[in-house]
Amino acid sequence: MIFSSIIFLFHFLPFTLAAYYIAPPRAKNTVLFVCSLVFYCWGEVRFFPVMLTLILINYLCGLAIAHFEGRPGMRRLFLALALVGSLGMLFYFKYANFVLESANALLGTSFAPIEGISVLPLGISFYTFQTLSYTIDVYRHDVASEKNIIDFGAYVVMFPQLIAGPIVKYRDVAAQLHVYKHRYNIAQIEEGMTIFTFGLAKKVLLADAVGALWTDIIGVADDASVTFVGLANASTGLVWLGILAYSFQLYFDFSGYSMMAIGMGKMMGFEFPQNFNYPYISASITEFWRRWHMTLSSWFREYVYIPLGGNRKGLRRQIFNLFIVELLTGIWHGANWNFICWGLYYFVLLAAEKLFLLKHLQKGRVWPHLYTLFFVVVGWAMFVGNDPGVQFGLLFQKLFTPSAGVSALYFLRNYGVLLAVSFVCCTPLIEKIWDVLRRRSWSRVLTVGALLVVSTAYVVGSTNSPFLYFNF
Amino acid sequence: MQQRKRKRKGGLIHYPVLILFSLFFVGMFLLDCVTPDRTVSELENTTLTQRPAVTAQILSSAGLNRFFNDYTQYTKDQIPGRDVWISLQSFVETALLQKTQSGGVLLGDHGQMFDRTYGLVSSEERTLPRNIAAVGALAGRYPGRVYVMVAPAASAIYPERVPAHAPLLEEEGYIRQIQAAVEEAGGVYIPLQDALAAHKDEYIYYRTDHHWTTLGAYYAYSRLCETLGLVPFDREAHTAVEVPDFYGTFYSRARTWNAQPDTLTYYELDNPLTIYTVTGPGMPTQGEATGLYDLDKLAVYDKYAAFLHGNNGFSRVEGDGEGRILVVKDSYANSLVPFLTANYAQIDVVDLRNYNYGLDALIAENGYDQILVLYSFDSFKSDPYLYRAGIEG
Repeated sequence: MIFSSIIFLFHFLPFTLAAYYIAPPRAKNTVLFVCSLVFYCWGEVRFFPVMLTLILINYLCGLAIAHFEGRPGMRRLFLALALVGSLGMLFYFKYANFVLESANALLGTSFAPIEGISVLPLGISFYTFQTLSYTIDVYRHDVASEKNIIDFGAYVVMFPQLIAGPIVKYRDVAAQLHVYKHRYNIAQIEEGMTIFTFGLAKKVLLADAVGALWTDIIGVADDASVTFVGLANASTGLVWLGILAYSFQLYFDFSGYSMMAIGMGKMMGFEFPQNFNYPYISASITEFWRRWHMTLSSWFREYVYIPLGGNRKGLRRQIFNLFIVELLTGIWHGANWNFICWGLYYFVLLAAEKLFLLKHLQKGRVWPHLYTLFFVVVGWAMFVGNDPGVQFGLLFQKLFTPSAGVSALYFLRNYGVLLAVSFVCCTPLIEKIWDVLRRRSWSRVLTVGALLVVSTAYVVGSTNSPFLYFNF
Repeated sequence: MQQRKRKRKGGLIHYPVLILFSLFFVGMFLLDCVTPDRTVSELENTTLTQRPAVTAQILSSAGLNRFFNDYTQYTKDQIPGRDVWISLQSFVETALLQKTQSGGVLLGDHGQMFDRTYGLVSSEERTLPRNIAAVGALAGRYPGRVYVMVAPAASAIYPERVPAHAPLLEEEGYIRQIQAAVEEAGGVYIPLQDALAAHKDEYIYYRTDHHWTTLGAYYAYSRLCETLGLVPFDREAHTAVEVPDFYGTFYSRARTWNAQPDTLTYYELDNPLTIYTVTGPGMPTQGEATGLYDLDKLAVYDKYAAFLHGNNGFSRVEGDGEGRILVVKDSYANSLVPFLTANYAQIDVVDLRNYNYGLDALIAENGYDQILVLYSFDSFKSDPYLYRAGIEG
């Protein structure tokens, strides 16, 4: 069930919220847990045991780690068990076939691919990381172990952030999960509704709409009857326009989803961390990664980079740690070589900035922004390079050797207004506009109301577009 | 107590967004409860999913998945005000975002709509060569008797109305391939591009539908008469009936707020039409006699279906002329066939999409003087059944 679908917006969400508000304080987590399980199973029941196993492994290991206080060996053993169990499942579903294929290609072996795992369990990359944050934190004494399996289950499978983040650490919501009375207040609910509406609008009015420019070029992967230009026929100008549109789409899609999650969290009395902070206005790649998918970066920083020594063990070690983190970031995004390349590409850029570039960037005014945008957009070309309809080599050839073909003119005309709106929505200017609008209640109501109505029209009007971050 | 209550009431009014948001979803829920579920959507030309029943099937995981999927589809199809929401989206897209297309339809000048065809899709890469080979094979089996006409899309006749620089598929090259294949096999290809373009300032293509108008069909028919040396249907001698407010297939996809409806014209003719029940190759025996037009259709959304009662597998028109002709066609021919009554005594019409057999037995039994293959380029490139014209038997 994706958030921008009729079933979610007009059936699941209202019923879940109503049940949650009506439920007596002690039963709220149970309602949340049960509804989230329905959400998780909707459309793919067979992954239900996967979720149950993950919850049980981490719940029991958490208890065991707390129980064996003072016996480091046992604590380590149970931490390892949780890590192997959780990451093992992630590996099996997401990476096993890729590893087999790569081994076949590199070593000439002939392992048969594992059947039945071509579809990933919904959001497995996100909830695996969330759950691990719990067990690791319990191990590190950063948080107390959870005794109540319903409360713990409600955290793991909590539907707002289940499928696309933000990656919420257990300790961020642990306190709130145990507040039963007065978990939320009206102001918080209203703010949540506003943020949710903005997120929905970002997803359906911007991401899906501007993403159509890119699919005009490469086609729609799961609908072979939709006509498209074809990458081979497109001119260099059009390919750049297309990849720019894809960059917009990716940001609005993902940040829109995060906003919806944050909004729904607030409606239920939880404060999730911010996930995006205008990444495209960054003046360096270093800054970009502080603004893009912030909860993932912070997860890697906290559980990989700093434990490896961070920047405290000399420059050489720091660069190595950076390499590990970026490699893992690439792998996290998908089981394919292009994602690994993409991760290493950022390693090179970040290392270069760390070694010498950053001090020059800090002096510039305009060019650091252009530099950052250029490399980020090229990065997205790498990122999308393995999608159906895209040939990695051809894409880069089209981008960097001028070639004739279908010109960008028509697409500029057709998507012009939308591209301009998208541009504004990538900058803090949109927040300034909202600051003016929110001052009076009539303009506040009108803005949210209009976005809600138009977004609904788009949800109904377009056949639902699948959410891009599903496969990661 | 009284005071606290009043305070709380006054409190909620300070949260107008909360009130609006809640009202919106509660309102949608209530609307959903009071509006009855529809069975079909005329505008979308489809049947709508009904609420799936909860049965024992949900106890198995496959059954539960199916139930989930059906229910998701049901909520999509039965959302209250579905048509209004779709129109609102189209309005925002075209009026606010100034897009030149909506729902996969290009919005051109003079209210003319065009199919968005940027290129051949992968299935057409296979069907187009196969269909070219099929008409070639048919022409080869009946040398001198096969005439092929391919109607160009409106964008080929009105390129200046197409939104500027839109990368629409160039049909010309493919049409030349069709022509070459037909002529090589001993058939006659009748080009329509110039014959239609000569009348482009007249109303020859619908604005909101993918078909040509009756007038467009007439000019194509005249071009056929020219080739065959026939005297064309006398339009002056017949009564033309005009049916206004025709919104066609392009409109149902684009759903633009400012679409200009079309007018559909037909000539009053009392020639009988028999629609046969096709059960095997050769001449069918069971049929139902009726008129050339299904006048009931003129009152509903899909008005073009009035011509020849839509696309039936095999039907026969009794004309006022001499000789016999077989028309193998798509829906473009439906508005052209009535004109042929002036020239032939018997006009047999085959739509291969509903005629599951080869043509040879039929042709052998009826001994046609001419065989006319008439398709629009759009369906010629994509039709998965035209290959049947090429198979023997």
